[in-house]
Amino acid sequence: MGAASKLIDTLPRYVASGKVEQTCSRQLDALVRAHLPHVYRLLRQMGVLEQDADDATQQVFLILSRRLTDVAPGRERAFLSATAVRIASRWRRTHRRRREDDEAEPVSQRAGTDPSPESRLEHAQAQRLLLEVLSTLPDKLREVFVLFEIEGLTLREIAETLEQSQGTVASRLRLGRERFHRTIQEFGLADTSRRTP
Amino acid sequence: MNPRRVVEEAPHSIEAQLLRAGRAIQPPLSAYQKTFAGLGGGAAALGGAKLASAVTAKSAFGNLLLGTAIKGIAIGVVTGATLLGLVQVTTGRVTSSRQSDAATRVTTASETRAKTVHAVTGSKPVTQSDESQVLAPQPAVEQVDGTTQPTRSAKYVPVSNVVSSDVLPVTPRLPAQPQGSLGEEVAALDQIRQALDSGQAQRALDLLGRHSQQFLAPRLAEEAHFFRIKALERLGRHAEAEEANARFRRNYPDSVLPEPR
Repeated sequence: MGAASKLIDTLPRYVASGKVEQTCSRQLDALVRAHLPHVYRLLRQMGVLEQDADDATQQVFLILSRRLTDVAPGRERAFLSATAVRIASRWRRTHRRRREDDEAEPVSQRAGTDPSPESRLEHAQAQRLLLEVLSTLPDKLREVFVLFEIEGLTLREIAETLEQSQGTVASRLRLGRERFHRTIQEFGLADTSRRTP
Repeated sequence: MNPRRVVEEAPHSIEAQLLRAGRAIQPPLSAYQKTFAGLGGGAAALGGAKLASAVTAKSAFGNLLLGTAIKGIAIGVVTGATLLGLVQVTTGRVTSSRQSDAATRVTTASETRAKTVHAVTGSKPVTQSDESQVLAPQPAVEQVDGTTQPTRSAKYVPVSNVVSSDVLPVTPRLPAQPQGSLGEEVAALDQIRQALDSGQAQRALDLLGRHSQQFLAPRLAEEAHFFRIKALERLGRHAEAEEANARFRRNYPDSVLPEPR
């Protein structure tokens, strides 16, 4: 009898769950379309290799799908950024011994097959160079630097995303800029059109 | 007050050029495909026939499968099958032909997810075929509440090792045991979270008990474990909460969930 009543209890939930699934699915579809480029870019700039970036991106959205009901509307981007930073951090720990130049298909080579000529190639080389420069930054500086300078988040948004004080974020940004500029000089790419930070 | 960004401050500098190149990094199509496949949707956005058919099959089949699974469970209840393994085999037989199609349908997502976990954590991927072989849970694995509920990462043994073939004939490879959909599990956990949010810790624990009975191989075991710790803590059962927390840290060392206590 207990089992039968349990079965009866369960039936409405089967019905309801279909709606939940459909709603979640539509919402997730929209979120993937809106935020996947940001997540993918962030993962790459935080050090995830190109060959693993698809999987890491999927992992970020799987986590979002599991936590969707906990994420307040409008906070999805912050949640995704924070998750991507954590996934990238975990990835770096796991793959510390691998280097960026181990990539099976470097960005520059892939761009070389593109029909559009020099500008694309230069662009791809610039991307590769950027990733190399970023890889020299300590993780904590790199996170803030990428989120501010490339992804366009404000200091307050970064502070919320990384659960740090705004002062700490500002300080890390300053240090990150210095390191970035110094590395570019060390690479022999420095120009004089920008004042030293 | 936000400082000016480098691309605004010195737009023609090498640094600005590099940063602009960084902003232009675009994900390949494969990133969308893999993500949508993992989430089990989004085919329309891609216009991919393969994905579209998978998703269509999902909605049509999901309802069919659920209906059949309920029938199977009902038959098990009516016939008084009290042994869990017996119920599994009974429902498995009723739904076997349709489930095999459904199993094919979810394989891609499952394998993709397993591959992702492998890529990110370096652990051995768990594939659908691994899960299909496993019908009887190994109770020795650490559980949330001390029951014999299996987890995704648990070791399993084939049913033939547990149930004697003299008592119950068993086919070599049976489909995975029927259980609720991911949406259903999300809804169940949502109820638990709401109970916790409204201060009904005991109700949350009761619901967690139902969750562990309903989902024998829960896909959201990590979240359920997380909620259990919270509920125990709020009920003042600190020793149990402490123990559950230690198990949580052991079972999910890479969890992205915040410290529950």
